[in-house]
Amino acid sequence: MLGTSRILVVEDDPAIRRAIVAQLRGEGYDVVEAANGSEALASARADKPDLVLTDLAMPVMDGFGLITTLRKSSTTPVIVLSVRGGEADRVRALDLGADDFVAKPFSVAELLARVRAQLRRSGLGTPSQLRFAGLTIDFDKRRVLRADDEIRLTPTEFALLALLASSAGKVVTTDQIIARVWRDTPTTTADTVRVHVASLRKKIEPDPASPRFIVTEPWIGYRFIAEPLE
Amino acid sequence: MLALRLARGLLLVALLTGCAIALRLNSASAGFLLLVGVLLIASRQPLVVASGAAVAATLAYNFFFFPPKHTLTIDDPENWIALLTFLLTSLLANRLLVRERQQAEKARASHEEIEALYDLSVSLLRGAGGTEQIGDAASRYLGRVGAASGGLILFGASPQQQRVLSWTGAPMSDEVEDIAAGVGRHGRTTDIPSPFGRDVCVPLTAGGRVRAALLARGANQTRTALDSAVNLLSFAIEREQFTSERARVEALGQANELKSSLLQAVSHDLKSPLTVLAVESEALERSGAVADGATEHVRTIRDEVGRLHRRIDNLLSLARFEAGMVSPRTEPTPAADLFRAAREALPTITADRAVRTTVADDTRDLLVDPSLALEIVINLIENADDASPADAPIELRALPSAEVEGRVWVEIADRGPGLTPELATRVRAIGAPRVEGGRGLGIELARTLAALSGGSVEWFERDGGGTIARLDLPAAPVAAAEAT
Repeated sequence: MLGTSRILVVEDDPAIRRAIVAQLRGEGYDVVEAANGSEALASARADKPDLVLTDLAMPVMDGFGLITTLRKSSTTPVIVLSVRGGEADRVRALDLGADDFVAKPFSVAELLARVRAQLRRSGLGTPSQLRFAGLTIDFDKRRVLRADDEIRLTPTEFALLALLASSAGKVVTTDQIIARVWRDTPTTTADTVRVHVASLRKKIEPDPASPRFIVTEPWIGYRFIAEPLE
Repeated sequence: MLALRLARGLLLVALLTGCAIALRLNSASAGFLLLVGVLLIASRQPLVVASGAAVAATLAYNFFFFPPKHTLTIDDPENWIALLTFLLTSLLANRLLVRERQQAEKARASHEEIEALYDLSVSLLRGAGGTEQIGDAASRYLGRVGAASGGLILFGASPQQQRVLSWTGAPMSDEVEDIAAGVGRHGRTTDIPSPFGRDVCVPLTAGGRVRAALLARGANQTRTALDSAVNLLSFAIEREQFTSERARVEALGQANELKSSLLQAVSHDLKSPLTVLAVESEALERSGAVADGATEHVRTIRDEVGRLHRRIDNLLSLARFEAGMVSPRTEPTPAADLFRAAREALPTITADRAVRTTVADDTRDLLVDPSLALEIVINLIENADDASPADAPIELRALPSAEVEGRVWVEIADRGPGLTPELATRVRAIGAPRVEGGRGLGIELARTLAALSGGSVEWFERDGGGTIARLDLPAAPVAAAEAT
């Protein structure tokens, strides 16, 4: 699927757009371009892209308007390109329905990894097992293996790990975690999540000083960074 | 003055008596004529003058019209009754007339006071605003109420710092300044005798502080009216201060918007080409189309583009903080996440050099603005990289502060030349000159950003050679997990 996926790149700066498009085409993707939100909506209807990569600050219709309108009729994954320090914009974009963000200046490798992760997720159903390098999660048996050793997780820790790992590569906001993992306890706070994430990390990370699986996205939430093994 | 009035009253009584004699009026008619004269005097003169005229008329009535005439004795007891009736009637009528006249005068004075207050309120409300308008309104008010001299004095930070907003009449003296200063200090009205009659100085309070004083010398208004005028002026001053403050806030808001737009424009115009440069240089490297000898040059370009990008981010962040447009947003941040993010931000350093990380078991999360803390660590790693020999690893460590509970030390240790005299001078100097490249700008940025994060950074000699840059940062409170 990856080689034939169609990606819509929405960026008002022609130089940046050209550079991104060239990289994506170099990876074998079919790429269509738009310079603003209005053009992007027209292209989304006509070209039916598998993924949208959009800037936020644009003339005519900005990225927020594009995401809002797109989400009324489509579940196409959306990755947002945002400036550093634009955490409020990222949270807003995620709340509106964006699936992920990449902060400028980004490395091409990082951008391509995020694109792959989103395309992979959109092509997957709910797996019964997820395997990562050094970590296996069996959803049916509710077991977790670190290397070959089973590790014991509390029900909350397992639910947390299952949520993050099944969204591998994608940021999951603290509010989303609370809603999905602590659905019956509305008083849960970000501190509660933080403590459980810390506990989970101690159990699954081979070296807690150099996390391989779970990282914090400041002010937003957490991201499971390992890529699933095929 | 009173004696002259009394003399005039007595003269009128004498004239009327003379007329009655000349006209050969009987005692009853003469009595009525004299009574009319006494009432005429009472309608215009004070009670003392009217009473004196009544007594004089009674004596004249007795002397000239009751037998035996030309004596002050009376034979017929009935005449006694007539004379006493005349005296009592004239005194009573006097009193009634004088009281009526006084009430009329009082009513007129009240009417004038109300008119003066009304004019004052109209002047204060209708004008375009400004302290000068308040001063002019105060002057007009003092003129209307008959003050010989006076004005409105504004206080600065202290009652001694006075600004005369308006002054009318006799020039202001040092004595007046002292009176105003006393009122400003104590916030109480003073009312003291003066050559003008009385000097009344009333404080004007706005926002819980004495802002001004109204001084009226020899004015004829009542204290109630003066207090009302002062209340109006206080409201006007408070409104003026509120308006000025609102204008200042609006101006600041516009200035901030301008700064924000400027910074956004600068940010966009500087960073867009750099983003393109970064993407294209990485693409060039990934394409494999670069000759072996040129690969290193492409990596150097990427490295420097990344560094320039970070410097621009740092400087824009500092500009935003210094302009007060943003403030640090603290969040519990695990040191391990900070180290990982720093390593990811420095791919060219981590590709060529071992960067080891350790986080002590009992290290609490940092309570910092993660983006600021990341910039500090990145700057310090870049400095360590610049200073270290090619094969020497850089160590990143996080541990609880050994000195203060509730703090965390984040250390960046290198194997460079250590605290050279040049570095020692620079890291110890406050406001050291910024030097491009090497440790210059990075040190300044790290120090400034650490201070913004509620912490500090210090440099120490490392055992075995090299330098340790130690960040001292606040630790996040320990959050208790629910049993699940």
